[in-house]
Amino acid sequence: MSNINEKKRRPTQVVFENVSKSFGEKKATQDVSLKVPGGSFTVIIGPSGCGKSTMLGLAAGLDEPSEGYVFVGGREVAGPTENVALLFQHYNLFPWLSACDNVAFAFRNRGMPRKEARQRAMELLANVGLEDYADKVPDELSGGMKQRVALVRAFAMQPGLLLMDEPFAALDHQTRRIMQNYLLMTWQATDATVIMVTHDLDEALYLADRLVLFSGSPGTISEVIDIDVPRPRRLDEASLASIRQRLEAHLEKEVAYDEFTEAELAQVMGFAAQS
Amino acid sequence: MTGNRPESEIFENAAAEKATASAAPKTRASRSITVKPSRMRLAWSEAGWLLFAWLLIAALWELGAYTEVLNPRILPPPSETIPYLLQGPAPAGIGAQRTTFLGAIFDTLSRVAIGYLLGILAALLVGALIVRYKPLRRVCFPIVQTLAPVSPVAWIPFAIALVGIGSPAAIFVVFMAIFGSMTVSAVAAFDSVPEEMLKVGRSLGTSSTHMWTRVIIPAAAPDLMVMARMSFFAAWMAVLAGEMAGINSGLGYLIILGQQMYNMKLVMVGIITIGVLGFVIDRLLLLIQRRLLWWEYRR
Repeated sequence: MSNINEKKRRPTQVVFENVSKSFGEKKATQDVSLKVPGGSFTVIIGPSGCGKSTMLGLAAGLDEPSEGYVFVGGREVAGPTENVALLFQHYNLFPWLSACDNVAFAFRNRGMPRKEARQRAMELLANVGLEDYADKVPDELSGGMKQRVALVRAFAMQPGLLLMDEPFAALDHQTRRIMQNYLLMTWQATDATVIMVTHDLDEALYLADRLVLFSGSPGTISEVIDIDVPRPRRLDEASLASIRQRLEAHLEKEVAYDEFTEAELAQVMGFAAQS
Repeated sequence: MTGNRPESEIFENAAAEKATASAAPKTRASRSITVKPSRMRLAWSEAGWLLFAWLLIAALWELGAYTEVLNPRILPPPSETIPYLLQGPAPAGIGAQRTTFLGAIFDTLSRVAIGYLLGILAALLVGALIVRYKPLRRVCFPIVQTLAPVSPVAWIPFAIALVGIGSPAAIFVVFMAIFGSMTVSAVAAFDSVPEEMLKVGRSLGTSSTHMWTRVIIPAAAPDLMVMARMSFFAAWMAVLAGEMAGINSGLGYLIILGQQMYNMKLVMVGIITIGVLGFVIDRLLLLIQRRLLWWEYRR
């Protein structure tokens, strides 16, 4: 990205300290402690319903922990800030704004004049090959294009922390792979810390510096795995393959807690064991 | 960055292939499947069919009157009604209630316009306040919800007692006709703005005022616009009902005059005018909708 080196700053570290979070009666996470090093790419993986997304909401300042503390960049989280960007599976582009105006949105919020904001947005869009689509509205763009615009918009304010909740889950296999590269490319040009939640093992292995395995309901951290394989990675590398086996073994033990009752699981797993 | 060109070209191809498919879940299906002729041509063909349908009815009517299957005294045929309509501005009524055709149109249109705009603005404001402040939702929303189903005509005695016979009473009735239902749907529209979109908006540094003007209102605009168009019909019917039931002027009153004088041609003129004006205004609202929600009509 352009002008990223204008300001030198410490990469944003994220710390969860004995964090529990309940939504009403339901406990989402229990006593989670996690240190995410500044500038790292951390992937949280685990079955659905184990409180992965809850962690992102807490780091974003959209929810408050029921117990414990969350620190972003050394400060306790007290609400959403421009230093933290969000990216979801549903692109959440504003359908009434063109691609360019979507990216310029944050600049305009800062009071930047329209012309200048649009000009900077155009430069950022050009970085991901979308300069010809700047005046299209989201409805006119394909899924991958929309997610590229959302990615550019999320990075527009040069956030210290990017939180992603299954950002590429709605894309087809090939598009997803290309988007992962766009993400790496964009991220490596910045000093941003990334925390991503995904279900996709390949995605986790391809992207992460560090894997955080979640399990249980309420969710707890069951394992943290560092991956120091240099990028670009090939998924058939031996070191990745062995991690993959560990992950699969781990996930097999886990179940989708919010999908099935225990009785249902006992029945269906019994069937699987017989055949 | 330019080193990634080939990759993005691959991407472009893949994207082009699935461009239509990927948009399908969110947009209405018809939009992505049909190959559209130009909008002008569509409009002309629609107008052509409209004219044809009415000519057909007029012809059948004329035939019915000629063969005396329809009693021409009660249902005057178009060949009598239309010349009567065109001879205007025909004064009708006596004394203080004497009115011309154009005067009646003006009365009705100005009342509905003022009542409608005030009603929509008030509904948006109250709806926003209800969404924004929890206590208001608890206290005010039930009141609005119980007032919404009250027939606008039921307000007429109250309106006349309060502000007397005349335009203010009619405006009040129009206002009451749409305020309740429009507020309920404004609340629903604001509530249904996706939570994630609000989160993203907040994380992009949007102030709480700008959240309304730059995120919530535009996001709710499509729903609001549909409800605003529906509300117009309610407003249009309310003003006519009001004029028939005690507010002695305007198009509604013209019809009552026709009834009292057993002038069925006048009644027919009233009905035709009400229909045509209502249709034209709805089309104008549709045009405004296209302008306002321009992004929905790009495809």
